[in-house]
Amino acid sequence: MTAERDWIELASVVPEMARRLGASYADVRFQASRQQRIVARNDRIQELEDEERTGLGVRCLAGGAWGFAAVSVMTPDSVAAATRRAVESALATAPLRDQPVVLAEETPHQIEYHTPRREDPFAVGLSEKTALLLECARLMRAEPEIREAWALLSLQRQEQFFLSTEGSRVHRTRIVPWAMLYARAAGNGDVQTRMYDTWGRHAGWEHIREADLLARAPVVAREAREKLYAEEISDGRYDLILDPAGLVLPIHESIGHATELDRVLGYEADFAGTSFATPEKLGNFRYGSPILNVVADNTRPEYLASQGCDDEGVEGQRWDVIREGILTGYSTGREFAPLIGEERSRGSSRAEGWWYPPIVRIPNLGILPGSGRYEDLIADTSDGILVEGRGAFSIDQQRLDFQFGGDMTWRIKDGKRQALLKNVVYRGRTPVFWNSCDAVCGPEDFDSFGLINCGKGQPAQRGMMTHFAPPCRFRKVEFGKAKA
Amino acid sequence: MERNEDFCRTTAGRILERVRADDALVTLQRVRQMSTRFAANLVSQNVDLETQRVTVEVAFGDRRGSAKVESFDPEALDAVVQRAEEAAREAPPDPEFLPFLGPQEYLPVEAWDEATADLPAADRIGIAQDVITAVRRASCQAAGTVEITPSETAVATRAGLFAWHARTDVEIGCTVTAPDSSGWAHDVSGQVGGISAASVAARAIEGALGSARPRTLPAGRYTVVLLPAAASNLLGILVGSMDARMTDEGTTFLSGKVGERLAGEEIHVTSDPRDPALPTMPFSSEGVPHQPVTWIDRGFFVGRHADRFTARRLELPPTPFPLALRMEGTDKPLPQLIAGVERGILVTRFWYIRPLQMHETLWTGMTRDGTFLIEDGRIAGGVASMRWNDSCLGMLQRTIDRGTPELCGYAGNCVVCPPLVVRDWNFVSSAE
Repeated sequence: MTAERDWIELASVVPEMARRLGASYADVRFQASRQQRIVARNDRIQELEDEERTGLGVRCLAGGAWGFAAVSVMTPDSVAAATRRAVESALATAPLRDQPVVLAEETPHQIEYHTPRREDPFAVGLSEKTALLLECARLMRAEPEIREAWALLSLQRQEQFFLSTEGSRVHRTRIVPWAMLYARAAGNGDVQTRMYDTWGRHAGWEHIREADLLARAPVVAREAREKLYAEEISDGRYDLILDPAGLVLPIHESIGHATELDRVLGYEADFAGTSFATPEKLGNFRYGSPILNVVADNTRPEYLASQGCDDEGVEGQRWDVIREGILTGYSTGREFAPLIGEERSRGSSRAEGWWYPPIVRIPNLGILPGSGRYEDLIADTSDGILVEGRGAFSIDQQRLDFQFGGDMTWRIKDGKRQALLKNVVYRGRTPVFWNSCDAVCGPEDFDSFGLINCGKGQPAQRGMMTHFAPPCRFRKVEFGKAKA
Repeated sequence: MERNEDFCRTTAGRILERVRADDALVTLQRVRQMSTRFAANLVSQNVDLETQRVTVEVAFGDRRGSAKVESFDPEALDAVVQRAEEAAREAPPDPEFLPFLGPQEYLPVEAWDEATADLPAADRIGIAQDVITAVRRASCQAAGTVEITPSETAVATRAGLFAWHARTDVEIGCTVTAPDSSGWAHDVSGQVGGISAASVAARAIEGALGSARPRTLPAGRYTVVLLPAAASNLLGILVGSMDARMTDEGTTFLSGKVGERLAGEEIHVTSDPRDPALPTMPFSSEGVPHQPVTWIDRGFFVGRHADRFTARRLELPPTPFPLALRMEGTDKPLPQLIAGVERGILVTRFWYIRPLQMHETLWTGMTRDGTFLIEDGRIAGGVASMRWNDSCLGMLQRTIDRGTPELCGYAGNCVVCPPLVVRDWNFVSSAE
């Protein structure tokens, strides 16, 4: 588009303009994004939105302090005004900072990074999409106990040009399709839910086709109904088996957020919180059992935190976060890495969009496979509970004390999956929980899951990342009923 | 940022002129979001975001589609109308379609403060620095934000509706961290003169220092004093679940119980966009007027929010989700409430509140940044954070005393809530 070419030219003058105004460093992100969101509820399309967001964000360091300004109106005047405002706010802050911001060094990159896809989801007609969702909802409502049948579809495309005073020029495009089915059943004096989540992925419409939502919908509804008649457990300690989707929450909440260096250093204390995993623990703290290996990997193109370079121009990397149970690495940005003596940022600083500055985010993060099959693990468990998928989740602001649930939960007795359970939550203390891990299954049962709505920052920003794991077992975990 | 009703009216008119569909609703939003963030006793981030957004919703018969764009340029307006119309043409018929509204009467709400809208960046940064300076003097660490947000919103339809609202919002929040404890305070107002850096800093410092050397309490049921920030979280969730459609479908706590007395006669909850504490937008995104509503009338649960279709079906007035909530309290100061508690826990705020059983209003969460033990009617020291599983309805049903209501909402959302004394709060675990 001509207009977009003009806008790129507009954006390209910003770093130098900021430098002339007094910035020692500046970067600019010009972005054009589109999101389609379609929601079917019962017999109708409740939402059908098609949103375009185009704009530019300027971030600069002047006098050792940060300034940031962003505009959706792309004219020479508005861009110049935004650049001026960014520099002015940095200069107004500078005298108040007795410790100037120092950025970790990064070689400038000139990168084209476009995530893989086979079929453009925006080329698929809206009528095909709405028909698919309405049919899913109809199939779910075939179960008489289903009071609410939801089918949701979100398609996001984001194209970004990143330019900096250091000479980086990064052009990337990402497409993230996601769909979910959700059924709410009422009966037997109870209300229960069940969902199916395609999870997000850098991919095209093929990700939705391959999910086969029409086949999933009746299963979701049937299992929501079955949960109405499921059993409850007695409070107590049981061995816990988590399937790969069930591990998303523990990985995300108790490892991912706990090892974001900005919050470790107190920069999220007012909102997302701090962390127990403080710098003196790096390299010596036993986070989990020796079979636990947790790796960050922002190099796999299908994973949601992979974008060539992060939003500070740092190349995507892979690093160990926990090796053989020991804390070995944080996710970092260029401002924070030097504060713990690291020379290079891990490249884990990302922004929701052009409208906000980047902040340290959880990378693609997961557990490396061990050995053994999922079914063998169940067969090896005499008195346990199997939790699949995501349920209620909550953790304290230091990422130590959590309570999680699943979407489907079964009792395991004598190595066999037995009664379906409901209203089950398990609680734990992060290092105690991960140290109780005594089995990590092999690559055959490994899977990955893209989260599209992780919240952090002030103003609050959504982030995307992928988690991955094989099934794992944890010994003698505290379980309770989700009851008052 | 300058507000400009005429500009909004003219722009909305130009967009409506472009529409070829049978019916159309246009929403315009102009927002300037200016914030300064601080942490580790330093100003850590400045944000100055200027956006303008157009949402176009159109209908061909009973087929609806909508599109959004962040530009008022003629080319962008042509394109957004075209995308909305394409979506509507491809959309299936909506069995709940109702024509967009014609002219409506709205309550007068004045929520704009010129001095706030024009506040220079240096002044905003100065407010943050005032907090940092006070916290440094107390040998603690400060983290928080100062946010200034002028905005204007207009809604127009082809049927002649035009609604416009301009407002300024100011928020300041601060978490103060001491070696083994933390405290928190927050102010919200429509005017920069309505917040106090000194007061926020002092309250957060008091919470941090007062909860030092926290002890660990065993899980169990305790009488709690929930300060307004904590109590209002759960009050908002409860009113949020008072939805007419879901209640009719049998999936809320109110199903089969509408109009019944479910709490004591002292529980009285209303909403009014003209609330003097923080006036709120007088219309919904569809242009439905926000009217004064009684949600809980002396313990009787009489209110429900209802979309236009559900309202027509159930013969209720269309009632948008409220932006202003007010719970009646007493004139008792907080020390008097505490004095009435023999043994209990005072909670400053909750964190990570998530649903366990939505139809029972059963949620879980943690306490955070200022949790205190009460013994013999006095604060007896800090307590480590505790997890609770309890119900929002239960909070009101087990309320045994109330204090003086305070404003404790967020930008654009007015919540006025008293501190509550609640018996038998269900704590299920405790941080060590």
